[in-house]
Amino acid sequence: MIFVTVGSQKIPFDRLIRQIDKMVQSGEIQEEVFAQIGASEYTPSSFLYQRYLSAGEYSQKIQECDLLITHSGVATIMEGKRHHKRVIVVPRLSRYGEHVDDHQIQIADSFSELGLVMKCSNIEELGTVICQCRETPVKDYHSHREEAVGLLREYLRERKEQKNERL
Amino acid sequence: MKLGFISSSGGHWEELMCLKELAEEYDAFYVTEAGGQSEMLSLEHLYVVPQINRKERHFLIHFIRLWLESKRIIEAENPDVIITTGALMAFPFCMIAKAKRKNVIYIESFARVTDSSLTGRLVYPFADLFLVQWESMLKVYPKAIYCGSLF
Repeated sequence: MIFVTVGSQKIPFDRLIRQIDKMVQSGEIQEEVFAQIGASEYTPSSFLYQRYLSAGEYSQKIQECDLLITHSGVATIMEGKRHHKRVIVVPRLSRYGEHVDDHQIQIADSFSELGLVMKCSNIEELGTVICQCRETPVKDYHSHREEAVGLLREYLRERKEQKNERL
Repeated sequence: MKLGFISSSGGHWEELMCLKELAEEYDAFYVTEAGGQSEMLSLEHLYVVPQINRKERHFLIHFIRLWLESKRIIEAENPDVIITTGALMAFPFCMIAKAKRKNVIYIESFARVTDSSLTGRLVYPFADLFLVQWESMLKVYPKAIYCGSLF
């Protein structure tokens, strides 16, 4: 199953949903597709979709899929990586009114340079990217959370000591 | 010491939730936007404000309402420190907390690898601690501290 997701913002991302619909209708995509279409104005006709999913449903779809095609949302990408999925990232672009600016390109670029995801900037090339993605072994992401949490924990401890000294 | 964990929905919230273990070590409250998945979590002490987007039609009126709500929440909770991962929804909270001489910790989004977010640029001049998750962002925010990824 291919899980396609556009995120929970109020801004549509029709470009991705339309392309997937076109590819399923033409037979270029043959397997089952499920999409979370969010605020999309375009409604697909050739596969099942829902506008929004609960956290549990979302996680389940990511775990069930064998390919995750997502807008360049950090949360979704990271969840896909946690579950060792093949991930294709399609950045939302401000020139199409898909986001307030082009920051989604940054994580798409960095993560694809690190070999963690494949990036699709030109939606017409999505078919080619899907084929390439399927042939590429999945590279795992290694978490650095402990260092960040440790830094904050130390900072807060110092603030607490300062507060206690003042009292 | 009381902490306020504040962020908009989606990825910003997921990043903030990477700090949940810290929240559990202190007296903490949370503020986020509607529309994400956060309200599905059984977090105690969670405030949910309407989602905002600076390019939407009635942005100004929504933003004004957000300022009023931020003031109400900060006054009701009286945190010592607020910790936020953005985005714009967090800005009034940062300003109001700073005006009340509270500590403001801003963590620039993991999605920002080479350039700054609007909210980051707005908060950077007055944040007590400004963290970036990519070393490349130290060129953008020279006074920031690189903490690595929250994920």
